[in-house]
Amino acid sequence: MSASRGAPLEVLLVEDSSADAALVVRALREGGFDPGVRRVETAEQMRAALDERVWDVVIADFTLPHFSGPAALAVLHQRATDLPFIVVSGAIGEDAAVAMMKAGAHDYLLKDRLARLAPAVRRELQEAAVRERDRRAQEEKERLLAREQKARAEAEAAIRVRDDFLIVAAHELKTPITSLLASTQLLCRQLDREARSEPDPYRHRLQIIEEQARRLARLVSQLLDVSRVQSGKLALELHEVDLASLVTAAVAGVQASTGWKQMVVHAPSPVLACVDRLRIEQVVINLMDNAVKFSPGGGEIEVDVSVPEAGLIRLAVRDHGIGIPPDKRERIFDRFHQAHANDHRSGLGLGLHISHEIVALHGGQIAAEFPPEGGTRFVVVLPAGMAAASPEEEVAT
Amino acid sequence: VTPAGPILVVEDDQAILSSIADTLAFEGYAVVTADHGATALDVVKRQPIALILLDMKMPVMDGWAFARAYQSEPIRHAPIVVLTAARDAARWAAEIEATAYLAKPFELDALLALVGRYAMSARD
Repeated sequence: MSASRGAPLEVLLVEDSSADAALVVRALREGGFDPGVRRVETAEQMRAALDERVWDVVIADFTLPHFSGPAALAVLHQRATDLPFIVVSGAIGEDAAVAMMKAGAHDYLLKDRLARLAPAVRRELQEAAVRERDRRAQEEKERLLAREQKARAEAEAAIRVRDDFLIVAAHELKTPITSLLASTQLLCRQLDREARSEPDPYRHRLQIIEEQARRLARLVSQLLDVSRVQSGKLALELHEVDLASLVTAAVAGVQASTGWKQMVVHAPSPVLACVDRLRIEQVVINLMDNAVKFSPGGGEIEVDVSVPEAGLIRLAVRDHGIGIPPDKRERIFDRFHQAHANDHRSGLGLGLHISHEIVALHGGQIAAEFPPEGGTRFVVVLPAGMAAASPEEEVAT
Repeated sequence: VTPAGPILVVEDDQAILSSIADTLAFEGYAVVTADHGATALDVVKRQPIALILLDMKMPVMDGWAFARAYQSEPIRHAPIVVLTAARDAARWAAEIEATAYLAKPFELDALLALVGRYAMSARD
């Protein structure tokens, strides 16, 4: 026996024979352990011992007068602990040994081969340590995952609250804008009816109020659209539409409201596509408004509708304005991005983003080109999508 | 052109109600107003109506409930034009089988074009 003390080992020994217990202790000492042993002979004693303290290993005889190896293993499993459980017994037959291992015993040794005991304990301690480490790693992983999921759910809830608020706020803003615009336009009609010949001092002010009310309405619509885009609630109503006449009408509308003289439309009619009429009109008007806004020196604005290949439709809006600085070009379709920040012409930075999302929902693409001679050309390519087309319903709006 | 009765404007927002009513009166139409569906229902039971301009979200009785009650009344039914600030205007109009819809805020010209079209078709 070695003079130096071995590794401390707390052993719960299920054994009725004190002679056999002594053999186990000796085998452990010889194998390099310094065992502290509690011997139990019944299930009650074993439960009490398990409750009392933490053990390193359970070593159990197979047959006892009032207890057994399999019953001890069941008691251990009831405690949901992962202690190494080693059976040490006389010959019990191969079937019983296999059954014990299947039930979860970690090893099975014969009493006359106790030299194997210490190495078996050492190996099982290591494996238990590995199992414990894996279990902790798994727990940690699950804890982190749960924390991440909780944070994500909280963030998503906050975004939903914000988007819901934007939708409610935009809707509430529309109510006063409706009566503001209608009252202003009624006043204009009443002035027209009076048809005074002298220059009308009120007319100009009323036009400013009317135009600003329209502008408010557009900004509010953009806010609504962007929150719909964010929450995935922007749904398309697809119908068969002639894009040539849609673009021509939209350009005429922008020309009337801006007074811009040099607008040219090239559109071979008809160019049929399956699109959301109002949404594509919104994209065209947005691109036209941008072209006007960022052409302070005037110049021609060209709009082209063409069919580059069967099934595809190309809409291009070309201006000769101030263009977009190279360092801003990459992000022009981002939400809230303003290519010309601090410029009084810039809006909420939502127009191009919403246009991009509308075109993407149609399965198309939008891109900006910067011709060497200056200005900007926005190009929208849409799939005609006629397979899914149904004739447009007659709706008055 | 004389429609078969006044135009009924059903709208809970007083500012919108008065600007629509004043515009219609200025353009020579007879107008009656109601600030929600229940008062509108009293109006349609009392007299023939040429056209109904109907807000959808209202207190007491909303546009859906009004349309249901109105259509079950044993009277001649005027066309309904839905006026709403919601993007679901088209769907809501379809739900109550309205003749047309107009999204708020609207251009007065667009409102008058609709009124001209449907108030006349309701004449006989």
